[in-house]
Amino acid sequence: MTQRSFELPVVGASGRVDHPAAAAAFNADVARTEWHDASLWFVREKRDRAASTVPGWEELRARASAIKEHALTHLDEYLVQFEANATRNGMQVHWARDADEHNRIVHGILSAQGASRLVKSKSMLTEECGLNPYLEARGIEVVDTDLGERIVQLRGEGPSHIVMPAIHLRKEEVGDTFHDHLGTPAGLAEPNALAAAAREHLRQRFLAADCTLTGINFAIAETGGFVVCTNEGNADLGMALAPIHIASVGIEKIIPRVEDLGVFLRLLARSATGQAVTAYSTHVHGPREGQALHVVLVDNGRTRQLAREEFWRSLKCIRCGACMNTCPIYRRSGGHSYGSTVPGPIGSVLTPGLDLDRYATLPFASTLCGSCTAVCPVMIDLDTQLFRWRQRVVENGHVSLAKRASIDGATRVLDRPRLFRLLGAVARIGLRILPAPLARRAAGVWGRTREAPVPPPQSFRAWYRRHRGGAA
Amino acid sequence: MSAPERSARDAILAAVREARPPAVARVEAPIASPTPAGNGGISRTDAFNAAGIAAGADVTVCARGDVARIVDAALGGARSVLSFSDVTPFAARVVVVVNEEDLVDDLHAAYARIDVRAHPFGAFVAGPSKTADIEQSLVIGAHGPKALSIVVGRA
Amino acid sequence: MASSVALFVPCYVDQFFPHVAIAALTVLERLGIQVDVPEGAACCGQPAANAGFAREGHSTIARFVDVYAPYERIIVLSGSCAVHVKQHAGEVAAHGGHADTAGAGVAERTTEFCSYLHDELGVDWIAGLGATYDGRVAVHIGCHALRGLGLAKPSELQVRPFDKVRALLGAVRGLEIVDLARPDECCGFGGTFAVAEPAVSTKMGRDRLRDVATHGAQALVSTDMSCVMHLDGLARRERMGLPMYHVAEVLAGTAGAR
Repeated sequence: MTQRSFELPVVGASGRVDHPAAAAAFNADVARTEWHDASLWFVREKRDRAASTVPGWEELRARASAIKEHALTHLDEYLVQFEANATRNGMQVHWARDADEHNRIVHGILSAQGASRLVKSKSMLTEECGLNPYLEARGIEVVDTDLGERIVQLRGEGPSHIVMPAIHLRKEEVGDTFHDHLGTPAGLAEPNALAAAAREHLRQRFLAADCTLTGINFAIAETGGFVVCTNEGNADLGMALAPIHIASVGIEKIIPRVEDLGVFLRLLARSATGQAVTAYSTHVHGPREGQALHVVLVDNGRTRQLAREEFWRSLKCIRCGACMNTCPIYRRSGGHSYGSTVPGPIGSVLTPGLDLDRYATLPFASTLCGSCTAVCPVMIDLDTQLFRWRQRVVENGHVSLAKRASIDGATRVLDRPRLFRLLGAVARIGLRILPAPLARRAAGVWGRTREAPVPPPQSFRAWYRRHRGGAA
Repeated sequence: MSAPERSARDAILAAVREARPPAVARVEAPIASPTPAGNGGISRTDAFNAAGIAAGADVTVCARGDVARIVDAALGGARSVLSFSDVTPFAARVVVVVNEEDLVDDLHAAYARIDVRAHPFGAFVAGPSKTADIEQSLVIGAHGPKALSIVVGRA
Repeated sequence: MASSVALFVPCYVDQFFPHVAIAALTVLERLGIQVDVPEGAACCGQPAANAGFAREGHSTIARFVDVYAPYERIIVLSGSCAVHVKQHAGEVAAHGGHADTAGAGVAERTTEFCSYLHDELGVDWIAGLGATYDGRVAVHIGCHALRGLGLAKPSELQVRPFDKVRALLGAVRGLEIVDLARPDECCGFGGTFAVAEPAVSTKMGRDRLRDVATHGAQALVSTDMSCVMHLDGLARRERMGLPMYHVAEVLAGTAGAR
């Protein structure tokens, strides 16, 4: 029985997310790690092909970045404009400072109408807010209708990816889950058949729902409307049927104008899955006749991130997931190893801002290779921000004393060239004279899977002095 | 808006004003996106056809007089009049009829032509409902239409 | 002093891979460049900074600025170190008789070995070395050299293809370059990442090696000995028998000589 990635030792005894431990547990199953890596690399390659078909792709990224930077640096103005126009369109606009306020607002809307059956389309914000358990504890039936979200919901897991929530699961595992919860035949694992079963199961929930909740990809200040992008059409189905529609959105999702949508929609799906555009890009500018439409604008740490000179640009994120698909660490450690709603490079930049101590290992779950920055459709300098978080983690003392000591020691040596040379000589001789197992132990973690470098008889400096007569 | 929500609103807006990074000006230059038509001499209809098929739609380009016959055949005689927003999420099959002259090069051109405020609900539909949430296997018809047919009428 | 050129040999190259530094020096001298290798700075401070100790590493990069400020051109024998100097030397404030622009000047004048050969000397001049290498090799450009210095077109970007390393190796007679399935996937070294995240680091390295092996490469040629230290350590543990060289060794004709 393979270990479910949700059961990885993500959170250690200290209450801190231990990414290295979770990643090591994930890697214990080599075949699964390779399958996960290959699945995501496949999506990354689709993204490359899709991007290559767009003339001026890099200019489009630069424009998207510029629009977001403009919007974020005028966010108060655009929020007020959006609120005014949305209200004029017949929407009720709510404001929530944090997750708890968001959940209370949603529950308040439901209970005021006596609603008890909620269907949701994908919303990472509600995952971030812990909305499902909050409502379930208050007697509301919550059904995630995105197929991947429904799969992980039935399994009692969180999504492992923001676009492909069940990317960590094999079809056989989905089959077992559906057998347990939806009564599909034991052993059924064919994706078409499983999706058909989910379609029937969810169609009943759609018809019975008295409220639908969707996320928002783009909220347009100029018109007071918003856009929801899905491939399944599940958001559309919910919106067309339920008498109440609640749309939850982080305040950073505001864009100034309708024309900006052309830029973002051309980038979003290509970056996310390699499609030209999602199957459904739905524009909502008011409630259907007889429907109540609520928009909940949520802060939950976003204004704090906006205030951070080094990190505010992370709020440009349009949640395409491209940085996860390309990240060699994400691909080989799985989304759950990050212990955060948004995993991967962008999660490792956003989440430490919520609780630096808890998420202190995330900025180190990277080689700073920079591939994330190069795929990001809004050009977030992810590797630079990861580097900066590392400095903040250390400054704030969230690193083990051992690590601090070793680095301090190394720095002291590296500052003193003569001492460095002396220790270098000792190390080189040590590696030569020690029996291999001892040398391995000396090399510690390095030596568990790797040989140490073969020690040369002399350093370059020594050679240089002898052959080029360099001054001492 | 309730009193607590009013104070949340004011607190958030105050926090945003406090946090606001130095202003970045809006770029007003038009987007230079070479259109498919201007890129390799492919006609707009051919580009639309190729993109539609790639998205899983069944695209037919025909003389305008034949459009009604094709649509009739596709709908199998169904005649109920429903608004676009009501019908598309439920129908097993959706047929969209479009004039060739209404094809545009890209989304920039589309947004320049339409008024998104004109309807409370309007969607760009690129194909049938689909999902790849189980092991990246593409499944058509996750929730909504299992097929999308586009009939392009040519003068 | 005005047209003087310095070579910076990073700490781990000095200690573990002296033959690479000798090869680099040999190549530059054969190309007629008068090169100094000044003493006094063993490190640029990159390892500490990447581990989150930039503040602690500050004295290290300040020392680097002291030592290299007099030089017109500073050639760094590592992509990662070159990127670090270019990005952070400018943060070094005035000290020890240097103006506060000294750091920025050093950052500006710092380049990396392959970039210097390609951009400032040119491939034709390199061809004059008459280097030969008989065999099929895979090329591994370090991520910082790739995306930070622009040694080649990263696979993510939709720009005109270019590859300065292949251009240089194209001047080596007999050398054949094999294409990899993932042309620029990170090897998993990442400085302290190699020991902070050993499981993923190891897996990344093994995957990179498998890509190299399944495409029939007989050797690996890299821009960065830090990547090589990791990949070679993995390959030797698994007895792959895959020799690895720095570009400088191939150009100097010493690859395979060990």
